[in-house]
Amino acid sequence: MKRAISYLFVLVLAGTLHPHAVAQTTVTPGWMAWLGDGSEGDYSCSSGTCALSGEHWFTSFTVPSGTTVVNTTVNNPLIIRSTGVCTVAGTISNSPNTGGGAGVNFNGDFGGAGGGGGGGASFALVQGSGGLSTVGLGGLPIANGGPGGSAGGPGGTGNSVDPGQFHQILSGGSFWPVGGAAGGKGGYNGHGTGGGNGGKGGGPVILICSSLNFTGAIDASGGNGGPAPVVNTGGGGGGGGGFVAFAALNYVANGGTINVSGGNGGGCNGNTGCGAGGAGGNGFTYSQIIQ
Amino acid sequence: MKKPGFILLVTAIVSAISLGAQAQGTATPAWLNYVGTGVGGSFSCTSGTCSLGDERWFTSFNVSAGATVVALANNGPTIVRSAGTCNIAGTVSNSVNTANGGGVLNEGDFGGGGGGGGGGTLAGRGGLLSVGPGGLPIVNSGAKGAANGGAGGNAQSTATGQFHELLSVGSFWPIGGGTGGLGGGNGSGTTGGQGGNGGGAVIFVCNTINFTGTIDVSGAAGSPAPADDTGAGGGGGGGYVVLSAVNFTAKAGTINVSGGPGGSCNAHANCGAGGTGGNGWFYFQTIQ
Repeated sequence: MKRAISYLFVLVLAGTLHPHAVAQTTVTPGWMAWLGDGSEGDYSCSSGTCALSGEHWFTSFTVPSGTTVVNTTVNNPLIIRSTGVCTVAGTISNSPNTGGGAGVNFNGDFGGAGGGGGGGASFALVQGSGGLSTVGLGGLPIANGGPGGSAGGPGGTGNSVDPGQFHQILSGGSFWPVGGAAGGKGGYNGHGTGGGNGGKGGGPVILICSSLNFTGAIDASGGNGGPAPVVNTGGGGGGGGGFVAFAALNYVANGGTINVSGGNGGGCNGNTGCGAGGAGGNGFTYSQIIQ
Repeated sequence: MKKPGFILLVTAIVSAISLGAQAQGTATPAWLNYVGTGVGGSFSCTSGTCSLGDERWFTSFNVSAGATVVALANNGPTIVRSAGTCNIAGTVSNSVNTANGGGVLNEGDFGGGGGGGGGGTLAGRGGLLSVGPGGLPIVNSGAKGAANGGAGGNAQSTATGQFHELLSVGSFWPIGGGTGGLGGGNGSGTTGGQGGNGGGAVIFVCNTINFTGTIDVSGAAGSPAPADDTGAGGGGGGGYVVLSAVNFTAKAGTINVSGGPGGSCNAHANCGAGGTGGNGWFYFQTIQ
């Protein structure tokens, strides 16, 4: 009996010491450990396509197989915090490549940069527009957009975001994640006809849940640039890819498909005097175990 | 043989409890947990009007009944972090609706948008947006009033899906609501009414909060049209208030996050009224 009490004492002592062990550096960024307060209750997209944008605090989040949750508001992130399980068996999209998807028609932040528009060619020699960059506060460039093509020349490819850049948002978070930047417009023909439109960027999708069961698909890809509409115009640049970040205490499954690719540049479509648009840069994906 | 089994059981239970305690999400966003270092000492405003702005780290904070704390300058938040008690029995204001108050003379962030300026002979100006990184629009403002007397548009209020973002992550410079748009001029050098200032941000993160007074972050009214053929100014967007504490002794005070009304035409001809500023929001967080 004495021995049992002694063992128990040791265990209790270990328990009291445990809080000191917890008081160490953080292994999960603070913004990725916050599950919200559940004030918006349970969410389920019961059938077809459901629109959702901004940040929401649910008690559970369910996208059944065969259904799609799409962000239909341009330049908005899609962020889910859930005190319960997030089940993604269907599709979540913050991409212009999904029907109704809005994407980004502006500068991005930590996604890929937009591709440059291809140049048109005529007596006016009109260049394509450069792809938009991803930027921080005050418009500070992060990932550079592809340059616009010179007369009849191709637009440049937008930069993909690299780890030294996106680690920043993973550590500190952002009060308004944006995603990839839009592509540049193709050059004019000098007679009032514009080139192909730049593709929209893909937006961010962020899931921070108690438990995550991800077997479906998430699309944050950039849109393709529009093709040159007539001779002597350029193709539009592709939009940059957005980003996808998960944080959960437990992953029941994390084998779904994620697309953060930049969009393709628009082609010349057989038109002469045309430069093709550049491709958008790629975004990134990340999974965090909350501990 | 019974003893080892018993000890094993106790060990397993303790381990399970211990691991369970570790593996949890955070119940409070990190930026709403931090109570500062107390380097600013004790702050107390017991009478009259006291100026205070930006972010301050106190050991305690007090504004007595009848006393008022106003923001020092435009476009700055009022943020108080305190390891002790924050007692708000009087008024804390980051609004130009309080005498000497500041508010926002610019674009906001997560407050309401500014109302559009009404048109005079010339079109008014749109209200200012609430914006994020790189000037990206978050909360839309009211549209400008068209030339020859068009009314300015009403601005949007901040939606839940928008301000949740700020609450989760914080911001290195909270702002508030956007400023209202200027009323259109008469084309001969006389401008329309000024847009109202937006309301600012007021944030308290304290060990204990005792809130029985008033917090005002309302947007200001647009100015009326000054003459015929001019438009009135749009109202400023409302700001926002966040109170975060381990303990709330009381939280029954009054909070005003309303957008300002648009300015009127004041009986002047060929004038559009200003649009209303959008409303802001408030939030209480219990630190756990």
